[in-house]
Amino acid sequence: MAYAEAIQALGDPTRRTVFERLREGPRSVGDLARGLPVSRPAVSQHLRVLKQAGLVRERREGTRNYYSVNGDGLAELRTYFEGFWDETLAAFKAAAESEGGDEDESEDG
Amino acid sequence: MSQKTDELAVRRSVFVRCTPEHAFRVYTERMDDWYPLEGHSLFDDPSGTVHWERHVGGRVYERSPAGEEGVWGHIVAWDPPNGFTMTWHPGRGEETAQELTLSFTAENDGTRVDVVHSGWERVGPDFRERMAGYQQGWGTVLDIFADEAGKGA
Repeated sequence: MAYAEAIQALGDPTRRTVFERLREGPRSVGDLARGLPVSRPAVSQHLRVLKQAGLVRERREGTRNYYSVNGDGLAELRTYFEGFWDETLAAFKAAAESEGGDEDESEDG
Repeated sequence: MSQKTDELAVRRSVFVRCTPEHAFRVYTERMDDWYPLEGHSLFDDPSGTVHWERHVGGRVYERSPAGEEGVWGHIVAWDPPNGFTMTWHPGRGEETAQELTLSFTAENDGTRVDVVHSGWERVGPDFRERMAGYQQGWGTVLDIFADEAGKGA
């Protein structure tokens, strides 16, 4: 599933840093490598993984490739967590309302 | 940039017909009564219990029928009945924790519960393997969500 791949891709700290930079705007590999303690090939490799996971998009401009955040990949991750909360809150609502809205101290610990 | 966290955060809300006090208690004291452990348990057997140590620094954890404990997160802010904040790292190291804030606000003869779930970019590399055990339950959740989303479209 794509969301799992995306989450896994972001598990690597350097890759996460690369991704975070892209969130500030599109960058070329050279731009990205300049501010990082890793080589350009390493940055390229990280970008490839991010792209495969659907988190990053590549666009060619002249002789350069620019990378940017792929909004669709993020949307999928959100959907996944939103689904979790929808189910959880629906179950919570049912429980809270079935016990009535009154004060009721006691029990549990 | 603080808007980063904002942009990444998952936000959900639900309106509940009861007081904030009651809602807060049902959430933090009676999770066993309602939480869909089936499909979301850290253990193979989802018939365990959920426990809250209701104070800052306290753990929220699941106890399996066999007595094993699995931590879901730690409470970092505790303000009943207005809300709480906890870290969220079920079955993962604390360094991969997300942050979870629930607020309970009185509104129109009831309570609005707001969830803000942020920091999921910190989830660790072993998450995928962990997910394998959850797959069935999560798949169901996603199906339900897709249906709902489809209705709204």
